[in-house]
Amino acid sequence: MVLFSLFLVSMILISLSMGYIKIPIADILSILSGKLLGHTADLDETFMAIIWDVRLPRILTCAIVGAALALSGVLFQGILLNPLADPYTLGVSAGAAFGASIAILLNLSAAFVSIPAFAFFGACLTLFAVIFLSYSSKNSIAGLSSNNLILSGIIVAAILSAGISFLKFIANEQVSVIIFWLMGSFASKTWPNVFIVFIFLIIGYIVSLFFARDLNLISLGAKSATSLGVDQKKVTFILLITGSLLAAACVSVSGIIGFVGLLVPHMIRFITGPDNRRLIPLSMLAGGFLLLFADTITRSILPHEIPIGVLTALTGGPVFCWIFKKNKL
Amino acid sequence: MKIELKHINFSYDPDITGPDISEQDTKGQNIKSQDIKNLEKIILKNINASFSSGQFYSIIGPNGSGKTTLLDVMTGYYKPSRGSISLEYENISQLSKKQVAKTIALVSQDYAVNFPFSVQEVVLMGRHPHIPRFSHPTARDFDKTGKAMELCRISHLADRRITELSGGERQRCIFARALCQDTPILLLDEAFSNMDINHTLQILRLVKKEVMENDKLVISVFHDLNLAASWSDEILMLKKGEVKAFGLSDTVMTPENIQEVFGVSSVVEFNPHVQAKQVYYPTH
Repeated sequence: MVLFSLFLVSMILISLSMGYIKIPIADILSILSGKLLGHTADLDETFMAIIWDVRLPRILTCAIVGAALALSGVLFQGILLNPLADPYTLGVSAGAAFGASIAILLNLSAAFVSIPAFAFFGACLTLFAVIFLSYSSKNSIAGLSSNNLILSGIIVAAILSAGISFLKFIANEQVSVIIFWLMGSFASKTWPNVFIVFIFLIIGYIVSLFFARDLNLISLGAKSATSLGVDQKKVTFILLITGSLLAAACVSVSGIIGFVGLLVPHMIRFITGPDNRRLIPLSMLAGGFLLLFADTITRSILPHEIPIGVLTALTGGPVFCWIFKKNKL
Repeated sequence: MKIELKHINFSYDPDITGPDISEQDTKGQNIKSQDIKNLEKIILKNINASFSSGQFYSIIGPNGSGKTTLLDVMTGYYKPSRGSISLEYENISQLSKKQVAKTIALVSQDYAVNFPFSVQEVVLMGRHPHIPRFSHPTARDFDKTGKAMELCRISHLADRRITELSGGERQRCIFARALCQDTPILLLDEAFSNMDINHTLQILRLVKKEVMENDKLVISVFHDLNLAASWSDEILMLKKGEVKAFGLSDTVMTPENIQEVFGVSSVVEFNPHVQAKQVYYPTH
């Protein structure tokens, strides 16, 4: 845990120093401490602007989104008891994408909040649609079961994907904007973005830790969990909402970034075992680290910035193949 | 400790509650035609039974007769459509899930664990209702876990992943988990279905000892009528969700009852080796 935190902090520092203008780590430390302690008189104005106003918001957003996606992935895999589950299993990404596409198409992007706000709204609507579909009052026992949820998620996502295709079709020249938004990016993130995702992450983290042990017991099956005093339905419902809202916040801020939520929990499970009390914090740190690593590569090492969603899949995929083959789950 | 079932009806369909038989007793037969049409969908029909501590009960009956559902209603996993269950004179629906978990442990049929937890972690989960949120298990919890694993002879498996074990070994782990849950009531749902005869007998002796020495109340679902007859004090026979017979093992175990409930002809004799009645099935 300490080791992983050190990794993440040093990654943040390294990432701050890298970019079009290289800044030595010592300068970064003095800028950060100067900003935090309030005496900024003797610091270089340009460096300060680059670090504090440009790089730090982007880097923090990226790390927080990575952590939130990983946390959401842990929750979904734990509740749905399905190793293939990820933050987007319930169609949250499709809902967000649909919302964002509408915002782009109606040219609401002039105002800075509208695309993320529409995306978040779309994601929430989708979530309620999926939960409404999978919950049946006729057979309340089978309601919210893993299969029901996954199926409803797939159905809703399929409908929304068709809707997105249609929007792209009628979008003409704006189609490239939609496609770029969908592929995800951390470019030009600001402090408000950082605070929004941070608040979601903190609340999500507290809720998940609160129910971490119950989540462990849910892997024994609904009946056994209930007989051990876990209110399985309540815990499932709360954690589903938590995981989906985390994913929705991430998607609205940074677009659809796949793979982190699916892979990080699996990787960390190899290290910690399946106990969620250890899995949750470590997955968050590792998710933040990995996404920041990928974003730093695309921002400062590659000649052109390629969409982060593409990069995570391209780099994370092979790494996971290797780990998967070596450990064979 | 005493668990009492009064007029329990259960159906998966919440709209079907079944005829209110307690009312019929006073008003006579007034079942509506709707109720008769839905009778097939009612899994449990007017179950009345009382179980008290220091006794080993068995539930037997053909497939689909409602044995597992009856146990699930007792743990509060299913809400009965009608009727009430009282636990030491307190209605079980008034108790929190945690309170119930401190009183009733269940060894269920689905002993699959979906993530590769170690055996010790799984057994320790039995202490869940006793450990407050955010706190770590105490030395006493680990002590109970260790003892339960020793009694079930799975100490040598403590660090193995439960997903790697055989069905019988996994059932012993789940049994150990229920044992360290440390409850006055223990419900076993075919808890021996995958164990070899050696471990079956060893666990049954363990259960019997818990009943005799610690005054536990055990209710076990059996498929093997002879195991049920030799180990339990009383037997409850279920057929299509109704109680066909409930009483001392020797009085319930008759060829007539077995014929009625299971539809097989049998010979029932007292066997001096097991000090109980045993059932034999003629091959011709």
